[in-house]
Amino acid sequence: MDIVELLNDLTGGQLLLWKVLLTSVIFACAGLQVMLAARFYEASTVPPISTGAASRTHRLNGKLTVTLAVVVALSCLAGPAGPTSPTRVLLHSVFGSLVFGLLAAKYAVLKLWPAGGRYLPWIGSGLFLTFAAIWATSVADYVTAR
Amino acid sequence: MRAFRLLPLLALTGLVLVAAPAPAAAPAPAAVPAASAQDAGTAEIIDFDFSPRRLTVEAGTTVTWSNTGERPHTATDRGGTFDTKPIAPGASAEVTLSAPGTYFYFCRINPAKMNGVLTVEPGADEARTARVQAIDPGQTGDKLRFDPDELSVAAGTTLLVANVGGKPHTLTADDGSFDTGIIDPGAQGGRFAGDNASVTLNQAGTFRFHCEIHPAAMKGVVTVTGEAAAAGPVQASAGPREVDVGAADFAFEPKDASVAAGGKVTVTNNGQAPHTMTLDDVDLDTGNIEPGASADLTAPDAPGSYSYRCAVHPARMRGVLVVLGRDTEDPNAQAAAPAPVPAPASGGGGGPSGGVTAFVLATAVVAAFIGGIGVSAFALRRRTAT
Repeated sequence: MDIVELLNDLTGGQLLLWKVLLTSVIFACAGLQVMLAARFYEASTVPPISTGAASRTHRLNGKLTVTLAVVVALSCLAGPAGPTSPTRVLLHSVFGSLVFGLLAAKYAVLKLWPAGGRYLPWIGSGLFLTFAAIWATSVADYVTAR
Repeated sequence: MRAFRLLPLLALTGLVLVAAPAPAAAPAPAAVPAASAQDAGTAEIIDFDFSPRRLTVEAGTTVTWSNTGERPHTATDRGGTFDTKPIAPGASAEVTLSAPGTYFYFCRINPAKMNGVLTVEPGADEARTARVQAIDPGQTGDKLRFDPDELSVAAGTTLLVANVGGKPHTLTADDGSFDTGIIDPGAQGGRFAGDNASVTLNQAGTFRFHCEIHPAAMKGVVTVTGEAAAAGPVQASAGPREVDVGAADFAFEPKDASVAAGGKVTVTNNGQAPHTMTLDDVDLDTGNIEPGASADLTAPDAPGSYSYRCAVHPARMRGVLVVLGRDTEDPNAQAAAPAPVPAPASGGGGGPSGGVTAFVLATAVVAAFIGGIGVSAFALRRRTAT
């Protein structure tokens, strides 16, 4: 099965446009994630909700974010992934891989190494910044180049 | 709720399943049914196939691919000597082939499933270029070999060696009298078009050759007949020796330019942003050209159509440089301009509307703002704690 062909069909031939939109949504979700985390870690008072509500929302939003990120990554891996030039493409590939490395690190800390919990805020912040870098090396180029 | 919790796990599993069996190589065109269309010079593209998949023409024939499917496709040489660019449904594209040999070609939008073989036989006029393909198991079911591994050419003939496989190769004389150097394969183990190189054989004699990287499996012999050629241009051509291409914000003008083999291409940046002219399938690149500046490229020696892009704005700025060989008609000189070809479906059409741009920019601003709150809260908390 040609994944790209299937996704092209599902998006009415507008796969790249959908990837651009989803990448932006994922970036926003990543921002929300780190803000919610700061709330339930009591490092911040925004948003003005309880820490419990922030924690629950963080989990739900995290699952949504990861799911969307995997869908976009999947369409990249099955389609245009491979070239290492120009530099923008190379950086995009590096950041795209780094995101899943950081996610693996986060799940490893959560499930296997509870004592490493003090690193979670930094891993989460790193994830948000990496999503920002992915956005800057793809969507920003798309909207400025066109 | 439980299903929702499992969603990321399912998605990650899907990612692994899709990524793991990603084809490292394109299927072998040789494995497809051998439909015949001797000397027709025309082929149809259907979703998702070429019909016929095998086509034999004489050197100098213009091959026309008509897209009767419902999606854009390309006909692209796996050895990097021609690329039609995306052909819209209902449109067609032409390529004139002057070098005899076998051409494995494919659709670069659907590289895994759309493959064909084009055989160019010598025409009435003596060809000055002969094509040799370096093939390996990157073409599924094939093996390390040169195609052809035995050929006879006149002195002064240029051997155009195309890497259509998934590994690097060379074509090197056993006695060291000629060597292409390493010719890189296409990306993803030959899933996309590879590189090519050429050597000119001026000395008569019989020369055994091999691949320096796979010397045991890849061997051949070329017999060069006639007198040694005088020094001079390899490819006589009726095309212009020089051509000017403008790079504006954000298009090349003209998009399709013709030049003689080895001719000079001058690219002038008429825009406000930096641009490049970067050929897709051969190692030619102007590098960044600042606004108002110019840069020169020397066109490849091998005739054919070379697609190029601006490396800074690859989504929008693309064009084709046609390198004209001897007796090659200039497709860009035709009075009737070809129908405009829209971007491939996966390219998202002609670009985002203002609404899309506004949405993604607004989303990014919001993301940066709320994410910045979180990151700075953690950073400040740590500073306060210490």
